[in-house]
Amino acid sequence: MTAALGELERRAPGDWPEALRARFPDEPALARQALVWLHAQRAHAIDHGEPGGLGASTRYELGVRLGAGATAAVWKAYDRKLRRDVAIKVFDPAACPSVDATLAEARAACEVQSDHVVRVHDVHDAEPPYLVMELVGEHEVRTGALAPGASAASCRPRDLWEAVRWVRDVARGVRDAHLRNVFHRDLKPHNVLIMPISRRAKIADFGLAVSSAGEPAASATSPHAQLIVGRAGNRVALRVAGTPGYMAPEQARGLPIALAPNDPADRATLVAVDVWGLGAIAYELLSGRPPWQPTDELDAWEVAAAGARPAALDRTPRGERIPLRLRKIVDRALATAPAERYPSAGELVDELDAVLACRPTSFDRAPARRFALWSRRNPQLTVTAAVAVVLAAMSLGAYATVGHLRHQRTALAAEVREVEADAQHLAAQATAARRELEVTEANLHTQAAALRALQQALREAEQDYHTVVEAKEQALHSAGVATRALAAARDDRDVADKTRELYEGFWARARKDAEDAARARDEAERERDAARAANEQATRERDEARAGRTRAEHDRDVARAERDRNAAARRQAEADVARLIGELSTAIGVAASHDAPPPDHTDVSDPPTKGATQ
Amino acid sequence: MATSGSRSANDVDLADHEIAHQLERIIRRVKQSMNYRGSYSTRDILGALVARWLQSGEWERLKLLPPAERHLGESVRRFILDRLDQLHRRGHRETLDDVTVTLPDDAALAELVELAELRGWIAQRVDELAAGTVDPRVQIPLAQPAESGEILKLHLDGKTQREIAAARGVSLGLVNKRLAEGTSYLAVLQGIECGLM
Repeated sequence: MTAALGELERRAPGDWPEALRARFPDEPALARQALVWLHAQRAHAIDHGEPGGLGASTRYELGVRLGAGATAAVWKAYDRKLRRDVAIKVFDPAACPSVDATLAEARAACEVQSDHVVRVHDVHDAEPPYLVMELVGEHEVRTGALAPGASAASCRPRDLWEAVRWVRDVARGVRDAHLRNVFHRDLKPHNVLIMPISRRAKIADFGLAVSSAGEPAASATSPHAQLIVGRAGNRVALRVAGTPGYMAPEQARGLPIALAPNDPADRATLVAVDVWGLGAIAYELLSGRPPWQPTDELDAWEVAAAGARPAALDRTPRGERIPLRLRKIVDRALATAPAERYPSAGELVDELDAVLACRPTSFDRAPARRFALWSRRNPQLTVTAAVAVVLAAMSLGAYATVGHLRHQRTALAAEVREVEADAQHLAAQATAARRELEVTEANLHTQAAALRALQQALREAEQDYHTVVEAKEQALHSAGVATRALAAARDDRDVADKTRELYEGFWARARKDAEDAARARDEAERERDAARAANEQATRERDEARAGRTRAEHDRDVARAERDRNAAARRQAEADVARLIGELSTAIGVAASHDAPPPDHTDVSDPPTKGATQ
Repeated sequence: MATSGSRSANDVDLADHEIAHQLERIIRRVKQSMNYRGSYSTRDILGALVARWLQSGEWERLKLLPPAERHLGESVRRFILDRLDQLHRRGHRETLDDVTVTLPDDAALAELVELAELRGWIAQRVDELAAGTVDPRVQIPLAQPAESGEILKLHLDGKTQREIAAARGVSLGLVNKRLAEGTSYLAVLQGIECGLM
């Protein structure tokens, strides 16, 4: 089926019904479905491919489609006449109400001379209506190829400050447009084109713009698109135009159709709408969401018309914190009451320029804030000023320190003088005291010497006293001793008397005893002489005894020899006896044995021999 | 209109050129309803209000009445007046006492209702397609119905083909092809709903 449809697509549309009937003869419903499918495919190809052409003009050669909206598509094209790339906005005849609207848009855009507004080169006011515009793009440095720009809705800012620069660029374009009495009324990121390399922003699409050159007739003349609101007898035709997510509140409620840019009141209304649009662009570029978002109960334009305030800004989608001064600027641009917004786009440009250049905005009135911004704006100067201030402070400090030191030195000198005077006074007092001390010392020495002399005298006196005492004591002792000796002598004398008497008795007895002893001695001498004679006698007897013993020993030896011989003779005799006993046993009796001779008697001192004992 | 009642294809006997004219009208209206309305005009605002009116169920009630008794314009007018009045009461605008609102005529309102109904119908069908549900009455197969449905949803949300391709990580050609298939499917289904096949 898909292959068959693909084959038919390459044939002329007029041939399709016949070919389908031939291919599906029994399935007319399927044939009709296939016919609708083929037509829809062709319509899609036309919408998204090269349009049928640009009429009789051969000046422009269409290239690729850059984008499409509800009423038109924008194509990259080549201007054969001027040999340049352009962008052509081709309106859909079915969606676009009239050629007048195309002309009005072209005239409005042409009125504006600004670097931040897409220029319109030409307009074709016949069928098909189209605008020839500047192609927003830049040539790449390396390849030389033309890189097309993109809308701010699809090409998001790289950081917060790029978003601010884009809004500033757009605000400049709006300011320039207002200078020419052209009011855009449909400002939104989709209508902001970003240069691919320089990243500058330009305003496009003046389809809803109001200008003194002419009113867009899109809805003003359409009976189907009028909302007549008014009081009895004073009816006003209102017109709602804009994009729901970005509409100013009063724009969503409807603005009078007959707004005259030259009229101050109408002009203020139109300026306020565009200022709100600039705030809406800033809001979305900073927050990533449009100011108004639909809810379950309300469409976005209804939320806008209800007079609510957009959610407060805080951080960008990248997480950057949005500065307070920038939030205040956006808040003022998005004020619900038109009178509270910036009175002109130029003032908003000045505010954004101030933010980008770190200059004070209308919200930065505090001197400290202004100084902080000035410092950020002039970092080198700030550093220099800071250094100068520090140096000045240091100099002042040094000067003050020197003055203070001088004052201190003077005070110290006075103090020194006072101290010196005190010292001198004290020295004099010390000298006097020293002198007094010396005198006192001398006195003391004298008194000490006297004391020592007194002490010596005292010691001597004491010694003398002790000597006397000792002498007295000695004397007393001697007296005592003498007394005791006297007593002892008396006792000794008594004892001696008694002893003498005793000795005298003894002496008498001793004399008697001596006489007795002399007699005894004489007796003893005699006895001694007798003893000596006896001793001599005894000695002689001993000598004689010794001679007798020698002889006895000689006799003993002889006896021993005799005994030995007797022993031998006895053993012979005993043997003989035994033999004889044996022989005479039978004959003689036992009495014969008693008659046997006794052994020889020797010295009694000789021990009996063994054989003899046996 | 999408809900004007289904008629059997066999009951319809139209000449080729008449059928072609009606088919072109269907295709154009489907495509027109699918176009993203970036900038709104008063007409679009009225269309949005009519869509709200449709959601209120009033149209379902009116459809049960004979056409002569429907008084479509009056019903829509009352609804829009109430809605605007509510909006004005929410805001800080001056009082709307004695204010009258003049709306387009009944024919224009009927067209607005028809378009709003068609948009609602398209939104429902695209949701079904994104869920992978294909109406069995459509005999022409879709290669990737769910993908076509999801791409159509992004298209209805106002995304450009480049943005859709970038968001889904597919080529621009594939996005264009799925959009073409999805649009053709919706056109065929709308033709079936209208009883043309």
